[in-house]
Amino acid sequence: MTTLSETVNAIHPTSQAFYEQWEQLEPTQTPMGIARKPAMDSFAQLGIPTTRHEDWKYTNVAAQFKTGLTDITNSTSNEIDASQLNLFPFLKANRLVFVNGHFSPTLSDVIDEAEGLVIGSLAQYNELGHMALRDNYNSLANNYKEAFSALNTAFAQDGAFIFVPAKTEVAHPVIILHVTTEGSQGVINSRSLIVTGRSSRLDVIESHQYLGNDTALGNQLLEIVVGDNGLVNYHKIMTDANIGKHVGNLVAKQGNDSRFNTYVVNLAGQLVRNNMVVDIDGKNSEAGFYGLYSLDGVSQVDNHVTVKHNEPHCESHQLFKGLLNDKSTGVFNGRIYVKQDAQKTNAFQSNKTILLSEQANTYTKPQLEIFADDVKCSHGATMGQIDQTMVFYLRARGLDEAQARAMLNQAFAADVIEKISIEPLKEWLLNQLTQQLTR
Amino acid sequence: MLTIDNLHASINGKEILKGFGLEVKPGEVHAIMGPNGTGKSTLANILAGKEDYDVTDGTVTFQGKDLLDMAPEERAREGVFLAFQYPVEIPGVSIANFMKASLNEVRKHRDLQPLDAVEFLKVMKEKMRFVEIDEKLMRRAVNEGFSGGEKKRNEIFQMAMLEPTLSILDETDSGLDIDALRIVANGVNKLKNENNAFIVITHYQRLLDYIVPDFVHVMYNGRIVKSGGKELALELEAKGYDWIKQEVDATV
Amino acid sequence: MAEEIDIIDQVTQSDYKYGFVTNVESDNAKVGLSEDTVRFISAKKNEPEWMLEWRLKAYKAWLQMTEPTWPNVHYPKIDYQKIIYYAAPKPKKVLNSLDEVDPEILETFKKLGIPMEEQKILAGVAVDVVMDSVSVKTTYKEKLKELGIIFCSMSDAIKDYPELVQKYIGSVVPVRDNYFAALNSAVFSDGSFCYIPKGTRCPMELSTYFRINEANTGQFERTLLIADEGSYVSYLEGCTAPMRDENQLHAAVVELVAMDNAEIKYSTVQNWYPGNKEGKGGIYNFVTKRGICQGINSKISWTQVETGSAITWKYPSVVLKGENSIGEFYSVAVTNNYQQADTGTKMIHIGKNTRSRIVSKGISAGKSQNSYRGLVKVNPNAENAYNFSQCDSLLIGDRCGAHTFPYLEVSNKSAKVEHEATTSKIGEDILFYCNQRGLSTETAVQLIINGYCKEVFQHLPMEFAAEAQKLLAVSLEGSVG
Repeated sequence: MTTLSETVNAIHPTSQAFYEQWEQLEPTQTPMGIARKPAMDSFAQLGIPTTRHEDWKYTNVAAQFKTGLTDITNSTSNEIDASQLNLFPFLKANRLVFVNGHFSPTLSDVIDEAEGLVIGSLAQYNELGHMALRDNYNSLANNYKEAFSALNTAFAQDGAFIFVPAKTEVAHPVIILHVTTEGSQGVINSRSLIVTGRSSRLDVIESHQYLGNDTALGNQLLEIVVGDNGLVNYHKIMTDANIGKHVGNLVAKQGNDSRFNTYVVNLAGQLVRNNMVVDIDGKNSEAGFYGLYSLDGVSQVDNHVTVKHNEPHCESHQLFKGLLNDKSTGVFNGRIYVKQDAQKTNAFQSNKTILLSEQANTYTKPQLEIFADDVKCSHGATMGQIDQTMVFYLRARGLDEAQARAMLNQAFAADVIEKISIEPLKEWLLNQLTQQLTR
Repeated sequence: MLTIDNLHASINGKEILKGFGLEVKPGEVHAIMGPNGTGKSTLANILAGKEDYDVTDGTVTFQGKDLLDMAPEERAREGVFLAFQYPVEIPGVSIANFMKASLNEVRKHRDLQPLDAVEFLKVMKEKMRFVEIDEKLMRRAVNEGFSGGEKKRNEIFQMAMLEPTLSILDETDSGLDIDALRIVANGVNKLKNENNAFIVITHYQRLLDYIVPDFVHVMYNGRIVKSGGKELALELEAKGYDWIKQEVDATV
Repeated sequence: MAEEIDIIDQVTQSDYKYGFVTNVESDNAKVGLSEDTVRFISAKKNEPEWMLEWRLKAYKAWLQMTEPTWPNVHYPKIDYQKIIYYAAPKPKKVLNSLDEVDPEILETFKKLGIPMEEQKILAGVAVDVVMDSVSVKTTYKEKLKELGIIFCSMSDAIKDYPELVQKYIGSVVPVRDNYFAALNSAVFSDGSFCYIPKGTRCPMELSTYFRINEANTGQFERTLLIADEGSYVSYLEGCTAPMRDENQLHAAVVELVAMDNAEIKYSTVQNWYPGNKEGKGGIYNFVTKRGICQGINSKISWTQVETGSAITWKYPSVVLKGENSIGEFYSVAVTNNYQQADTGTKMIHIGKNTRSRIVSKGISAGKSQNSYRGLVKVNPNAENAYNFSQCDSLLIGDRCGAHTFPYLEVSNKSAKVEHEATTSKIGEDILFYCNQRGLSTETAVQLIINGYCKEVFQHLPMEFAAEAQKLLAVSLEGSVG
């Protein structure tokens, strides 16, 4: 029987039910098993954050937990028909599919092979004791005191594991598809780990698909370790109908001379929170964060980005754009942290929002915390409406008002998608965007 | 072309170069590898004339002249080019303006007429194609808002413009993806001829798959401790530097 | 590191080239400020009663006000009783041509490079020279008169066009607007007045040159410029002052009024004595400049190149009242040694579809402090107001400071306000990079500064732009490595 550490005095009320469930888990001595207990300790103390918590001021995730959600990663059926999914058939790619937090070998397909390259299930390689998994699992999330990460570490069973050895360029993107099904009640935890070696390259496309109207809350945690001189492009795509409830944590670390880009495109989502925390731990590295949230209905997307410049001569870019229609809400919270030793840092941050309706809301909080003196940082935020004179101009050229607006909105939003380097994905997303804007 | 003999140099009283020696002849490519903090970048900076360092002993002769005696801009005009490890951003100065001023200084030194705007643009466009740089970048301030890869390509572009006799590439390959690396390497390979020479300082053996060096030197603790052909680089990539350190430390 | 400081010192240490004193007899007011001083000034200038009343009202208001402390500048308390509030060069006789002007003054102008000589006049420059507050000579007045354009000294305007002056003076900058505006209203000695009639495009750049000569004098000039419906004028203002150990006060007021479809372009090159390298002496430049876009489709554009003064406190502003009106502010502010500048602009959007644009380039060198302070205010009725602000700071060396204080107050949902700010630094690494490409340090600094300020310079009239570029080079001279 496992007990909480003595240092944990009181269990947060919202953690109680999870705690009781967690006690039923089979203890193991694998990397995943070992990490569970300190994580549960941490979650027991933290509890589910409310809107009084500064980081959750605009996103009321606690309301979801009022009904007493529990972890259902272990109790949900994982059977699913491939025809229900968008498997990105237009892309030649490696595919890893996870249904309710469990690997589906039948839906998955790995095409790239190289010596030492791993594209597979975290649970499997956890059992096998893969060296890179041992060395890196929870090594980043552990330092990140955040309730959903702790909850994830305590409960998650499976997810993707990718290991790219040195000087290996993975020829095709790896699609990681997380499916959450209908009828589920509770939280599904899924966990992934990506470790890339020196001078390697990897493109990842993560897609979250929700089937049915009453789906579970997906709580996913992804750790990425980018090796020296390496390149990782990470894409997170949510384009389904506005039903998904999702909390995603991305915790990453970069080595020397590395590049890491994230592209987060939300064209839907009932309640979506994207947390990204990246430590630039090597010199001469670059990080890019590009986000688009084009929303309608009552959907809400909340992007939180934290870039920590810990070493000199690095550069980071953040560009997030929001197009908010109906009663949707967009939140952007960007934080640039420049450590004292991180001289010659260049960091840029920009958030632009267009409100398409009177009832749409946008909240922006750009933050700079700079402790070095020789740095170049800038941030900008704009919010507003489409320029009427431009609409008029297009109408004067024969477009109707709806067409004119759609065209201008498309141009505004496409800017982010254009940054994606996988051409077929870019085309597909632009197409999705057009469909959404002309609906 | 270049003779470095028993070079000792220090910064803030700390000795970085401890008897460095190297002979570079026209037409040669020398690769210098080594673990972090062994003085590779110090060497590059001293050859270019950065004044933070005190040269305490030794000589550097470049085409018969005492290189250490010259101001940084004189060295540049004499034909020493450094592709910087961290190319700085120069606010407000477009690359076109910058290169025009620079190229004309170099030409003046070589007793050539300055290029007028039209001639200059012609040369510039040709060299830009050469390193596959987007022409749009030319109107932007030098390196400002450039990605890491663009900055490094811009260094090679400038090298192509100034046609130096001795080019020192200080980790120009670091942080480049394979496409950018090929462009940089192609640039160097196209510029290479029997009259000029290159010193390529690198961390990653990968570059040497594209720029084939005549010599590979391992630098450790402020001097060259091992020299060989290109196979030495492969050996280093596979085995790391510990064995070199052990060898050196054992003989001390 | 030591090397960097050397280079930076060379870059930032150069001498004030306009610091010579002209020996002209002067007709001064008594030291200090009282009701009598105000009456003395008004009497000296033969002003009508209403003007005196207006001055006295301002004086009384001033007595009740306190000096502002919010700017990011520091200076010892000013003793307003130690300042001479009026100094006019003693006229020897009435002047009919340039030849009759005191040769020493002409020599001064020559040293200043004022465009006063024949060739400059041919180039189309009319100059109203204000020396120690009194207009010495106005050229080209006749030519302008034919077009109905009034361009004269404020003193003449009070005499000749009292109804225009009475209507507009204090209408943009009220007497009680701020401490220094009140002071100026009480004791202003002279300045320029300009009226462009309806539908007239002023065919030449109008230009005023201010110069403080007398020791211990304050300069309080007052400029009023009215562009009537559909008119256009471009106005240039340049300022210099001799080198003195004491600090001198300059508290000017400039008021601009643009009616329907009118456009005013107001350019300033300010090169008051900045004090010496130890921070001794120099001008306190506390100026209130404001324009109002009164009419629809009107436009006011401020362009300034500020290199002088020990302390600058200045926010050329535009009140955008008329629908579709446009306000612009382009500024280069250079501070060196111990100079302090707290400067910027205010764009007040009142009318619908009003647009404003702010481009501010601060350059700090030596031990100076350079602050940008700007307000963009969108009132509730200013539908579709648009503002774009770009505030860049350039630091030369690491002992100076740059600060940005943008205030954005938006009370209308349809407004679009954009703000961008950057800070860069010219350090040893940039200079070394340029050296490595064969450029000398001096060439490198010039290349950078000119490139950095290009966006502002291109809004200056041609010959002013060349002058500004030279001035910047002089201000930051000594870069030869």
